[in-house]
Amino acid sequence: MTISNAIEFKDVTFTYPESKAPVLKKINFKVKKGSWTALIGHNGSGKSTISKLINGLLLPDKDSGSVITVSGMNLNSENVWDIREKVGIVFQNPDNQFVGATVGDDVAFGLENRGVPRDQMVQTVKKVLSDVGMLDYIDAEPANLSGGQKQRVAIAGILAVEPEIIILDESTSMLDPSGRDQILKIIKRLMSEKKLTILSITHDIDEADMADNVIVLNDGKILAQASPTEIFSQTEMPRQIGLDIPFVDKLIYKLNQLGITIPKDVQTKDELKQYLCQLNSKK
Amino acid sequence: MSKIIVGRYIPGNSLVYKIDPRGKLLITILFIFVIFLANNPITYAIITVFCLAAVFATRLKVRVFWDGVKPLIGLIFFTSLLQLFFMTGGKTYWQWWIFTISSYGLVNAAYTFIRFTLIILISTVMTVTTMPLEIADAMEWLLKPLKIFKVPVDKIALVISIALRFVPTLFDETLKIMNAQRSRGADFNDGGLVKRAKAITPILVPLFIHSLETAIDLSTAMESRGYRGSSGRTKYRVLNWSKYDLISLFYFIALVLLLLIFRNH
Amino acid sequence: MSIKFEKVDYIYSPGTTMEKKGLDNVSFELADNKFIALIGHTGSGKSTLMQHFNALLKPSKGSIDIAGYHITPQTSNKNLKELRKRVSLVFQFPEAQLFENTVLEDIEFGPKNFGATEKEAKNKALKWLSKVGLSEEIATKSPFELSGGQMRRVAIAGVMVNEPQVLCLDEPAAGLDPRSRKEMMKLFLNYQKAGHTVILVTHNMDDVAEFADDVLVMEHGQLIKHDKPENIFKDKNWLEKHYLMEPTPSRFASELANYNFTQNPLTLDQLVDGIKENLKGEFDE
Repeated sequence: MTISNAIEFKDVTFTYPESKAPVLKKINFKVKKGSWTALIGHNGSGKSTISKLINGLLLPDKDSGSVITVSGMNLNSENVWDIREKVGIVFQNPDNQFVGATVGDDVAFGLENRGVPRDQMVQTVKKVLSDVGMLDYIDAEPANLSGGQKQRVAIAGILAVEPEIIILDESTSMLDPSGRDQILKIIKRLMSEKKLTILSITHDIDEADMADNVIVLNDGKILAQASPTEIFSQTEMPRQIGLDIPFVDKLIYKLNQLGITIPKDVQTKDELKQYLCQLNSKK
Repeated sequence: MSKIIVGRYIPGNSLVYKIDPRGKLLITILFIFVIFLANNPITYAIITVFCLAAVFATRLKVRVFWDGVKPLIGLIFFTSLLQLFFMTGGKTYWQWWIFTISSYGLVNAAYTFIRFTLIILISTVMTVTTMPLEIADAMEWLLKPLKIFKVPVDKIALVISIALRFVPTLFDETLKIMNAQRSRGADFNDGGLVKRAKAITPILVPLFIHSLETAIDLSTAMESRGYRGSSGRTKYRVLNWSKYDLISLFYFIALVLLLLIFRNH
Repeated sequence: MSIKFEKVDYIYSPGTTMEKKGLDNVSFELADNKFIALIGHTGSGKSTLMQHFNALLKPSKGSIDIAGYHITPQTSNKNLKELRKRVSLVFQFPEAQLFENTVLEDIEFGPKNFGATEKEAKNKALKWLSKVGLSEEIATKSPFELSGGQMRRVAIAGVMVNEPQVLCLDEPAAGLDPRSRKEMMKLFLNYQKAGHTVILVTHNMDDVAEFADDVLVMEHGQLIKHDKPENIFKDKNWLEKHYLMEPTPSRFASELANYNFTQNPLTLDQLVDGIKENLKGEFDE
């Protein structure tokens, strides 16, 4: 049997030990293998809890009937280390996940943990660093790197152990725009090269717009799951829960208000450009 | 923007830099013992020459070494003066109340002065030519025998390497917090001791919280990258002995032999 | 009382192997009570420049006139308190500065340092707590119990409570969700409109286009351009050469091949107006 879903949450409920109300209430969603899924929601919507549940850093409430399946395995305390083999997480703060004293050391950390022989380790470190364009910095110390460069090293460290799933847990939120663009470009390329599944947890709307599939989380519940165009063409819903909408959708909304009616099937930036140009050439 | 150097490592590529950190650390430690073999002018001259040769072999500016000695110069003089004024024996040149200047005192003051200075110089040779991380690696190697007594040497080494890695980060954070509080009117230079101690709370509390958050984040990241204690871990960073280590070894043995031959028995 | 930099140089760790030029011959003059954007890449000298505004760093060469102070390399570190009351900085991720037991006490820290009485400090703190959009209920809470977004607001209140003539903010909205982001930007704009100078250090060109009256562009420690946003974003080749982005609406406009914009649309509203203008014939019929 082939597994079509990389991640599956079934009725997952989670409550932090010190609080009474659950942050996640009977959550259900699926992430298709080889897809890019964006999980959006405002601060405190429970987004970041989800990434920690996926690799067993947190466990769902007992007796809640929660089932989490990752790469076809039902996550439990026995196979949590096997699941961590398959899932790599790039966290938010570039500094606080940089373990090694130099770039090379940091990339090797996951390999050291798995007892990979040194010769092989040296080869792998070089290879994955060149995958993210950081090979020239192999001996650099983290204090001399920018936030974006540190995140590229974090990605290399994850690639080194060949995971199936990469979770971007607000990985770009502390970066400047050029750093962010680079990270997203690298991820996009690696995703097709290495047949990865990407789950990006974000409130950056342009990042969500790059995904195949968007899941909207609000107050511990899933509000919607659909393609980005479907989600963002409903201008009201994202606004109501405090999320921004992509530029194109804002523009369509404004044009419609002015009486320049844009047909429903015009959704992407290119479609809008084309439509507007056609409109102007009719004169 | 601020970059600080942990320890006093200065990049370079002279002979001394090529010696394995384990060799350097071991010789530095042994040197401190060996220096006590010197007990007459000839042996002190020998060890001084050997030490200065090592200093010059680094090809670094003299100022670097002066910077190493400077903070301790008061202490060196103080101990030497103690010897000078309190040691009795041999000829007595001068005496007043409890103070005496004797020939023994003079000689011993000079020896103490040389001994102290040489120890600082030779440790400076090591610290300026070896990265802190390499020193940590070398220490791990030296401590390896303790594994028999179930001392978690690997874990200690990882802790040291992480601590070293976070020193610049914490330094930056401290500077940032100080600037933020200064912008809110905090004054760290004025007032008496109590006022200054109080003024430090707005720095320490945020710094403590920041460190705690960093620690939590870091442990989460380490766990998700498959860290589960030390069993079965391999090492990426390895140290390699080379011909330069043989040179340093012979140099050291020559020193010990010369000292043994020329010292007073 | 304008802000004036005259041939300012700043050198990091002078006389050591790590000597580095932070600012290189920077001169400019800013009119009062404007919204200023300070842009440039990471490491361009923006933060170094910012720290000169209230003499956290002092020029190695040159002089600065700001809020009635004349700062030169010889200026003593003493008696700068009044300057820091008049010119305040909000650093990136300012929630890192919180330290008091309660939210209110933390906001009172500044006023008390600047000589306010207990009562004055409390009144001011309460006023700014509500101005940054937080309810009075959290005043007695520990700042460390709050969410990240709330902590940010408390930290910003803790600086704005001093009501400085010049408020300088380094990416104050970074990491906030869009709604909070908008609210914060509105707060700063209103503060400027009420008769203060606001200097915003940012990477977000859409914000620059929308809010700034005047823009300073830094690169390698040098001020490479000082102009109004419409002039800054006019020269596309220049922007490209310095790896600077255009605001999203201008980028979109330039890709509409058969449209003619009388003026480069910098904001969404300008873009919509421009499109309407172009389509006029179309919709009048």
